[in-house]
Amino acid sequence: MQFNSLIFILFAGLFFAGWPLLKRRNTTRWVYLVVASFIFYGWWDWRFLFLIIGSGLIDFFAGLAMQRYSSRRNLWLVLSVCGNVGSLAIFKYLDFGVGNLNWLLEAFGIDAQIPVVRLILPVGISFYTFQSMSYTIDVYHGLLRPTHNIFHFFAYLSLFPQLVAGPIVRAKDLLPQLETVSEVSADERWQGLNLMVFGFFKKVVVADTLAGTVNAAFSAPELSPSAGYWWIVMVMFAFQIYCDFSGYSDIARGLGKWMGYEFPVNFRNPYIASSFQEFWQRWHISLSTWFRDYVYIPLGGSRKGAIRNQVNLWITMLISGLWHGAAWHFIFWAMVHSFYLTVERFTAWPRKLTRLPGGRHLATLAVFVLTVLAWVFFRAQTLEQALGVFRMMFNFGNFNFALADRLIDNNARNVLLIIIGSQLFFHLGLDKGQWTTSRSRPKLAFDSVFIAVLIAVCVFNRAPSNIFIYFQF
Amino acid sequence: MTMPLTQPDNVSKPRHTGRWWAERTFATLLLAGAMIYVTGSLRPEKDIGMYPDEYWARKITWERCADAVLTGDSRVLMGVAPQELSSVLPYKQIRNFGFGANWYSPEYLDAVEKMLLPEGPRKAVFMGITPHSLTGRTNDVMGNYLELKKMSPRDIYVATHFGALVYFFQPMSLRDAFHGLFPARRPQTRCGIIVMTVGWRCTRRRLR
Repeated sequence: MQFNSLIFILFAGLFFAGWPLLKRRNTTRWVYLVVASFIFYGWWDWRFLFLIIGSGLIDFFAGLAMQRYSSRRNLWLVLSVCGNVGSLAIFKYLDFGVGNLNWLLEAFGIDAQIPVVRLILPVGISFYTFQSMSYTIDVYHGLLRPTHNIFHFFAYLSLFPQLVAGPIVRAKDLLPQLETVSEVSADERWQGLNLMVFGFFKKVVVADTLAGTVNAAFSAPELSPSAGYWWIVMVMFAFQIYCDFSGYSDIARGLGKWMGYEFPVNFRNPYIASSFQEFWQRWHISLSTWFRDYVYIPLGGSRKGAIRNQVNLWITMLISGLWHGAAWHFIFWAMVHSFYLTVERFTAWPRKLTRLPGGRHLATLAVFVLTVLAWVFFRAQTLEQALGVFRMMFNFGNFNFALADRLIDNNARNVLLIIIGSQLFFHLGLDKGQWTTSRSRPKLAFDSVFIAVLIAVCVFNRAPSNIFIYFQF
Repeated sequence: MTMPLTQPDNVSKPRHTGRWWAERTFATLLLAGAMIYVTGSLRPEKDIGMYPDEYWARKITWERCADAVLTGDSRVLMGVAPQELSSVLPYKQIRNFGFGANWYSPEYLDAVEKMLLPEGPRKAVFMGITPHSLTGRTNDVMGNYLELKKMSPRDIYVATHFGALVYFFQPMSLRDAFHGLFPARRPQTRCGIIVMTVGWRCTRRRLR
């Protein structure tokens, strides 16, 4: 079930109608959450519910076993990690591995092609697998007491607002929240509404409108030869993926607020970052912190010298690239960002640049442009296509804005201007101005009308629906 | 000591005691509902006959309903009237199975075959061939058969049974809203479409 579908609106209506009645007792609440979440997920393909259940059962019992047989905690942890990574390996990476093996066999002149399996990738498998793993790892480290109630555990693992595309919520943050339920205040309801409306706006108006132009550019039989066109398309993609993904996170957080739960902020205007380190502190925060805590720091983090620090960084980033998808272009995307971070670490160029007059703006612009270039690897369907797009983008002899103008849809151009305007609004700090933070009656009335208008805009100015990009990860 | 049954588990005290219907969230949702109603009402009147989504949803699910089928792209869709043909040809049930953009793909030809009544004494498929209908490039044009055929059974059900609601909530351009708000500013003449149950989309010019 997608958030931007009629069926979800009906589902959410029914869920919130029952929530005030059924949330009051722990077991009833957990069962209600599990049933609702399974309906939400099973609507897409009920067969994959068995995968969540299987993966969850391994971690639930591994957690209990760690508590009961603490001398063999390592064994239970290995079992849990193998179960989770194993399901990812089978459903997500098997064909990629087989494809590469076949390529290697061919390179060595061995004529033995291993058939690919072509399994369907279960929606959101990377999200719930990581969420499930965080439970056993936290129990292993003694940061969390394992829950003894299986519905409590599955309410955490499958909670529908963030099940398929995050934010990835840690067990130590969410399990205690699920043990209680607070009455939702008027302020929380208002914040929840704001988050949901902005989330829907980002998805159905901005991301889906930009998607039309971006998809057309990448699915054309031949790449258009205009550099101007490709720069605009890639800037559009940068905002498409941001609005698509952060829109989902906003809706999830808004739903959480209406339920009385707090999910972590997943995006903080990443494109106004003035360094790559800052960019990764603002982009997909729940995943970045997951990798920091469960991969980078266990590898040694920055405690073992500058060179080892960079090795750890590259390993973490490459795994993050693979997390996004089983394809070489995702690995290249991660390599490009690793390279950016390494160069930044050794040269400290953003800090030096920000000391110059207007340097902060220049640093932000430079980080944005370099991020856009890295997105080429992320969006392209193949490595060859990515290299082709680079050739076009740097074909400075042919900017041909007239061609770009002809190929780019008017709505997409208008939406791009609006989103760039909103980024400037945040970059210049106008969101902290007197009027924007005012609690006066006219401002409150203005906000209400603004949100109402945005709702109407989401209904009547939505673009043809596209699946959320991060569903495929 | 056991807890009384009516006592909720771990429910914290409410932080808000005002009337929920008087609060801002609810008022904003009401205002949004009113805006949606007004904006939806500004939409220009629909084609005469079925609602657009209902028309396409019904059309792609036609099976065993005709002894003669007119096939092709927009030239056939808009240009050939089954009623007129049935007055001169010996077929009782003629359907226009043309689409805005179309080509003679295997899937399309299969669908045409399925439309024919198996027990009819004579059957015919009329092919309206244009250069475009022979090339798969029409797949890139919106409204082509293969694109419409991707409608899920759920979408088909909704479009067939709740056509008016789907039409009301369809995206709308600012120009349409403007013309709804100021009908006097509409162009003097515009194209009207009459959607026939036999599949023909008859266009005619009409005064605003």
